[in-house]
Amino acid sequence: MRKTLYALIVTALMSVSVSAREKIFVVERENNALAVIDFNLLVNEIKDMHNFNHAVVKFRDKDGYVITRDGYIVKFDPLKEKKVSEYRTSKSAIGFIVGDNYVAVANYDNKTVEILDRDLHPIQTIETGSRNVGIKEYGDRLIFACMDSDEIWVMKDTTPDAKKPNFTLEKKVKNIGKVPFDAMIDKNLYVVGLFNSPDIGVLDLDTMKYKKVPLDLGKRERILKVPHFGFWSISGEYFFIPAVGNRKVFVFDHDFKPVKSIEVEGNPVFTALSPDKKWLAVTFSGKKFPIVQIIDTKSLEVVRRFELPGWVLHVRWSSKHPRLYFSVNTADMVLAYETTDPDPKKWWKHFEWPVPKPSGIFLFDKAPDLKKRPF
Amino acid sequence: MGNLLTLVLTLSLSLVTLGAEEAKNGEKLFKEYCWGCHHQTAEAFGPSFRTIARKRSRELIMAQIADPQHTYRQLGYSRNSMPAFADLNQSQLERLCDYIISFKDAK
Repeated sequence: MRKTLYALIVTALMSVSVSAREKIFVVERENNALAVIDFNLLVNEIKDMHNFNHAVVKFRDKDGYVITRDGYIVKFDPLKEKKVSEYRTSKSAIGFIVGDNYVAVANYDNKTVEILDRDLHPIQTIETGSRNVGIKEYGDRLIFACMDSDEIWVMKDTTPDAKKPNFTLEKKVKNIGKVPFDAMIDKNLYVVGLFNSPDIGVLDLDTMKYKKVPLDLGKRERILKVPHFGFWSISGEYFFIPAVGNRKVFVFDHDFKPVKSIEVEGNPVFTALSPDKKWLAVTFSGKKFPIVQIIDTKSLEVVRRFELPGWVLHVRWSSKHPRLYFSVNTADMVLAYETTDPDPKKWWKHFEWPVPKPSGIFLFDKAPDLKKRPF
Repeated sequence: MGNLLTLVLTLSLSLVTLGAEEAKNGEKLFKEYCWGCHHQTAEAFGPSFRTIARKRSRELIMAQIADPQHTYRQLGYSRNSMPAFADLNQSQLERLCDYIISFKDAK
């Protein structure tokens, strides 16, 4: 009787989990299009999205935004799967954030940070004289790093209650280390990766104190892809930092004391933490593009190795289902692996979608929980 | 006469095929070695191929690929982030260079 009851509860929980709706948007790198996967089916493409090499998607409320390689910011409706508006902020950009009442784009070329309203009308241009990376928000502050001048700029919104922001320079941190290339943020800590220095930089946004944390990089290998940081790699206990030019993932505690450097199979690009923080998926560059390794965040050991049938350009953990998505670019497929089993060696392929030349995978979790597609 | 025409046609076709093959090789090398930092027409972590092709000679492009540590100042940079690709042979360097230069007039 108890067993039957248990089975019923499990089934009920599973059906709740299955009915929760997660729309998957996948960048088609060569097609200037955003593929849409809904109800576990490849159902649509949003086309004419400009140059989609390295395109990045973000969602805020019920709005979707894309930054394109050729400097367009495109607003789209993730429910209707349609473009809404677009504005070109520069000739090249890859980083942006969406605040409550603004969109901020860190440009490569022009050397500016552009502030737009949520409907993409320009508000403010911040001239930096550098390519700009690692743009983040912290309360009413905007933080980014200048790749060419080795600085961090902290901008403060002087009119936080107004409809439009007005950012002024609050603090410029100079000589942060050579060639900042990306950043992540954890509460008040802005953590910046440095391409040509054997350190990472940490700026405390409450005290504005900056420190460099040395990395034991050892002999550096040739780098064929600049690694990416993301908030995915900050767990309750640890920061996971992909090494630049070495086959390691560094683990630090929240005081930035080194805990371990985990040996991995190639030079890491993405480190993606599962929503339950138990697993870290690591992708690689060069000849190891088809490999993904899974690290157990308790034992800090590699516990599963995937060899996919092509270059893996992105991975993403589902926030609604026990799933890990893989974007296998050269095999024209996006895969979903079922990750319920506590033993990662038993995870199995659940879905395969034929997306042409896929790269970034982005999830929209605010679609109404319907039985079927509304159109 | 007929045989000569056939020979000329065959040779021309072979050259066209060879040209297409070489262009493909250049693109393959780009995807293997350059793609993570350079884009064909947009500035990325490194300059675009269009910018490189417009500003530099073929010789300088090849030297920068093989030994950037000794060429970056000549190119006007104050520091270098590019790794050396000294392991590419002459033929690979030529194909990659052809591929880079093919974006000189790209929009």
